[in-house]
Amino acid sequence: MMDYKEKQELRSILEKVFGHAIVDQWKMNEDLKEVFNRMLADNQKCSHILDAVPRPAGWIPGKTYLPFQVVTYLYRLATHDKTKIYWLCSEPMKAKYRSEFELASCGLLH
Amino acid sequence: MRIFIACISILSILFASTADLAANGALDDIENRLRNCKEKWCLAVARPPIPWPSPIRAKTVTIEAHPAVIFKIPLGYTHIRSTDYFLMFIYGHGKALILEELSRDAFPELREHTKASSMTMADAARATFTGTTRDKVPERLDDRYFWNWAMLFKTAFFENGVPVQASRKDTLSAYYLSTRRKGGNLVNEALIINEKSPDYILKLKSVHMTFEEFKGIIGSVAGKEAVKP
Repeated sequence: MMDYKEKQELRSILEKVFGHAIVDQWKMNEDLKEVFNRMLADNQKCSHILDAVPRPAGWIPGKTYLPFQVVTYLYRLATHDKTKIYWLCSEPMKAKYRSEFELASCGLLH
Repeated sequence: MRIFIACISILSILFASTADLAANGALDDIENRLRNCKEKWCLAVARPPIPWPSPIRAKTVTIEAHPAVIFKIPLGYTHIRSTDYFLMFIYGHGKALILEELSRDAFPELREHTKASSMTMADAARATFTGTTRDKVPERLDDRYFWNWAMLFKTAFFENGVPVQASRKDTLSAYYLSTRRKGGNLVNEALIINEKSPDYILKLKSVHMTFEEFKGIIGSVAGKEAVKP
């Protein structure tokens, strides 16, 4: 069973994702926590897609492959802030999980 | 003063160009990884269209809450729950029907990043169900955001390998599936597009409702012109 502090923490996190007006209606319970854990795992999988890694060469790498990839990687790292595109994961997650949270809040998940 | 304004203008242009360059670089990464994605959902699409389902025969009530479509749902619900872009009808014995509006208004980040996009919500939803991560990505920055949003949304419907049905009628397209979860809970989901109101998508979901009854609700859907600005 979640204690008061856990419920508050969960509510606070969910408010950041869905907004206060929506989450304010939700009852923090075990089912809701289960949905949250599923969403978190899904979000991590999605974030993995967004993580920066050296790109595949597409042909047999020459001697210049690695240094070039490292240089472009560092350039990309310097010129963009990845956090600015993480919404591409969180927004589809919202579309996917909103109804699950609502069902969980009403005790209708299972 | 003129020199100062000119400097500010140049800096603004440079800053905007750098921001675009950065965003393009980030999207290059995502698209590259999606193109090489080996998971089933990346390449899964809806099945070829089958005839539009027959409308529900039970006693119904007409729902006009969605901007793009009207439809009928079974009577007998005991509670209605309504929050932003969301409406849930609760019946007895754990049965529930959920209606969600998927629009740019419902997703502030999407709205913010796709202001200059020529794509609509309908285009994005169609891409989710008929496109794959290996398809050609649009070229303009805001379209690329929308496209990638649509591709990542594929996980919501194709992750478990359940076949997604498709049906078309006039300006309407429906994509729907039925999943039995662990514990036996039957969950049905659908996305409905009306080409005449392409900025608003209807997402339907039911729990503890037969697939036949759910398809009957889809069968009752009729299009309407969007009433929202």
